[in-house]
Amino acid sequence: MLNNIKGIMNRNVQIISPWVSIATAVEIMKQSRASGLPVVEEGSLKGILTSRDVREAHPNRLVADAMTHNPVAVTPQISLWHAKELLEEHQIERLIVIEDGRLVGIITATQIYAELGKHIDPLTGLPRAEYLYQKAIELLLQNNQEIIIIFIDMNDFGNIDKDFGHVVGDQVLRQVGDELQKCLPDNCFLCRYAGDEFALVLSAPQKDAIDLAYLLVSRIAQLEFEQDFSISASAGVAGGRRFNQRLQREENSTVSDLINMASLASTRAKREKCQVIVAEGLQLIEVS
Amino acid sequence: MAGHNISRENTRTAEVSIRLTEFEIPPMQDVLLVGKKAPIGPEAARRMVDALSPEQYEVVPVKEGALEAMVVRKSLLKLIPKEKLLPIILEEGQKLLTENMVIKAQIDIVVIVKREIDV
Repeated sequence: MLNNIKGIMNRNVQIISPWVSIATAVEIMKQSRASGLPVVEEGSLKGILTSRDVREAHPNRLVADAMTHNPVAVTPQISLWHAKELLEEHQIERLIVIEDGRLVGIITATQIYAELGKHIDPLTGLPRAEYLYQKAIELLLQNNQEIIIIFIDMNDFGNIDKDFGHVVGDQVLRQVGDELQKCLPDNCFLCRYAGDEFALVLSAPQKDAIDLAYLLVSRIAQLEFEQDFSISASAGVAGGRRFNQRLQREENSTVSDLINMASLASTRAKREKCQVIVAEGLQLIEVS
Repeated sequence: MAGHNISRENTRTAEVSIRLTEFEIPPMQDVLLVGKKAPIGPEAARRMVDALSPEQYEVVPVKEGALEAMVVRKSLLKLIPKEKLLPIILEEGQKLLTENMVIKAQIDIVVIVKREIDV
């Protein structure tokens, strides 16, 4: 399931001509309660006038002389996370939405963060599973890279809740989430998948992913707690070993299959008391 | 005793002075230096010179100090190359210009040529 901005962007966009004054623009902003106005001339987007631009400009100036040129524009299909990354990269408060060369909407940072909040696990602060799907598909679509899923399952976590209480159990999950985040290499994306399970996706050689899985599992085992108990985890690794040509437009099922394979591998690791199992014996043969 | 009725009229007058002078075309002389927070910006300046003196001026964006742009009469650039003239104007103009100002400058250029010929 992809979470994009289409459902939350503002479609009723107030635009402004480049040839009116800043004083006029201020009035339009007040009336429309908009803090950013796309600047359009003869149907063509020329820039964006923001409240920051207005503050810094003389009121006698033309919009053309105060606007921000080359505004960051996106399509309605862009994911929430990619939109957030663009806001942070460009240090801006809104994105213009273009479809088939036409201005179709505008979306603000407030809207994006509010929607993203629904996809963040409140306990650990990590994204939820849909984030992993989104990032995995993006990696697949970037130059058709191979991706690897590492699925991490806490061992006997239910006993911690029973013996020490759910508050302690929650604290354990928070610490595990923090520890996993510290170990992440670049271009690796982590989520709390469910309950006591975490998952991450990365594009790397399988050997590097296996090394990372061992590292993560050992770092979890080294965590210390006030109540003087220890924890451990098992990891399953799937991906990075394609045998046949990937079918186009099958990214969703590819990701689902890999996550499932990694999850099964982690269950097997737990059962066989191994730290890490690689899903080589569970390979998926694609039929073209 | 019969008295004289003296009526004094209160009057108010206004003196109107009108000063008429010729509006120079173009009114901006040879160069305009536009500050970053001046009441007009480069696009407004471009529209103004294009309306008043079409094709006679060039707008040069500048990102130095308080200056945002220069509007230069093209005929000047025929006498001296842009890369030699503009730095001089820039250097001198920045000594006076603040961000909120638009400065106009008149530039006189005299080219002296000396050549030797055999007689």
